[in-house]
Amino acid sequence: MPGLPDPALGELHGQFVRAILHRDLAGVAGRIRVGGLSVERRLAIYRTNARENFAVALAAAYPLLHRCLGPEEFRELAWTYQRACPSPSGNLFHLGERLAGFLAAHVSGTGRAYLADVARLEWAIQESLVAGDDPGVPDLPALAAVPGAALPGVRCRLHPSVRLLPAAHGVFALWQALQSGDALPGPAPGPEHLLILRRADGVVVHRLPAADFAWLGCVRQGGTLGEALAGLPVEQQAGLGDLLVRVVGTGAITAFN
Amino acid sequence: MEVHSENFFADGGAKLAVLDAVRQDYGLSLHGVGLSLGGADPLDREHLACLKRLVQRAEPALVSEHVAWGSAGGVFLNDLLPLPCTMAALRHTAARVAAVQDCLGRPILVENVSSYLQFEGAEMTEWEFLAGLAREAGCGILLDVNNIHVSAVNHGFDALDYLRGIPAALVGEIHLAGYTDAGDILIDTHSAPVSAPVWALYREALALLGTVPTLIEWDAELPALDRLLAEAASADAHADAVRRERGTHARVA
Repeated sequence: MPGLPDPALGELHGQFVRAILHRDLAGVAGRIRVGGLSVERRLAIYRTNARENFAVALAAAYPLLHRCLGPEEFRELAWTYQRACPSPSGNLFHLGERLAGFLAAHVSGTGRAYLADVARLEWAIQESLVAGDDPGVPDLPALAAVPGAALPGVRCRLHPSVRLLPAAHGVFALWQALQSGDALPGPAPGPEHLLILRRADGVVVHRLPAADFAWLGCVRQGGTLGEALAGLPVEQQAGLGDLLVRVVGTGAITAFN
Repeated sequence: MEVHSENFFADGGAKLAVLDAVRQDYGLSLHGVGLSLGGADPLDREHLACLKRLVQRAEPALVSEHVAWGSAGGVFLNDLLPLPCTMAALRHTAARVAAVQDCLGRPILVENVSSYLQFEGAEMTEWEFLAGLAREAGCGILLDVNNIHVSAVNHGFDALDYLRGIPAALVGEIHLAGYTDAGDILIDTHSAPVSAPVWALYREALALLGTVPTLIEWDAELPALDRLLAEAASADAHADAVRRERGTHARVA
């Protein structure tokens, strides 16, 4: 039946993968023709290909982390990560999806813990880049015409590319420096509340006030304007109008329903 | 215009918008690298669904993939890895190609890859494997002439035997590219001009196969555009020469 595994082929391929990623040649060595070049030399070409393809794709997804670490350390990180968390797909996009968690386990509690937040930010950017389209523009006059009593029941449709990232460390300035080509600063004191979304000219990152971030988080979960507002501290609930203007200005909201 | 299918698996965004715009003015060929047609893992249905969605969106003239495998036990190496030339591997791969074609509702082309090793126990040559696969699966062939040369040098077979073993009626596209000579082995890097022996082999291929759209792959260490255009002009010149010599009509895309 099409698509079903072939056990013999599967065994050979498994041996091959172990030889590439873990230099375990025990199974595959006797199954490769030598013919003038050693088995190790032949496998080394495939190992180099697998390692380079992975590192290049990872660096493309994590340009800020690449810059923070430098090319050599990033290459080493990529190889370590590749062996611990191999690519889960034939689509290179997915190979970076576990990097932030992997990195967090290694840098947590050290002076470089901010690197995990850098990775989280860059993965959120990657997700935002490939999210669906929504050309909608929120109809603010229509919202203004909603009777006051009905306003709390209004829901917002967010752009599919919206990602919300609570960062323990201040990494927004690093991302800004990468965009401008400036020297990277050190991480700022955290926490930061980041909104990532895709506009017509690319992905943008906004640093939000904590209240805006909390409100948007509730809206993203499907909460109404009223429910989202109720989650804010009492002293900030009076500022819904200003909050709406700020959030609409980012492009995160594409419609009011 | 030929693009890597996987680069456009997104739900939305700029890349897809550019592809849509290009599609307004050009025919399109979707060339996949990640389906692992010869893999022993179950066919990746999610990957296939993304490809089907892209095919429906872009309505390409050609869809192609590689005669290779790329994963084992869910671990992907994201490379085009060689298959053993056995009847079991042929039948296994043919069944998967047929399944892909059933899913897409159209035939695909399958491409020969460069290889740096061969497995023991081969029951046929690589060209017999490729031709047999195409016949059994009912697919076409994307013949990579550079890959034939690279593998011929690496494994010591005659590249002309390979060409002569491929049924002309099954070949829907030709690829050319440049390789890197590592001293002890040739490596398919797509980072250099097409070499003289590959141009010579290309002329032999055109003489045997006739009219076949041809693509030059150069996707690493890219030169200036005029250098790329010069490569395409060289392909045109070779095709014209073959046409004059043999009276065939080779077209370069």
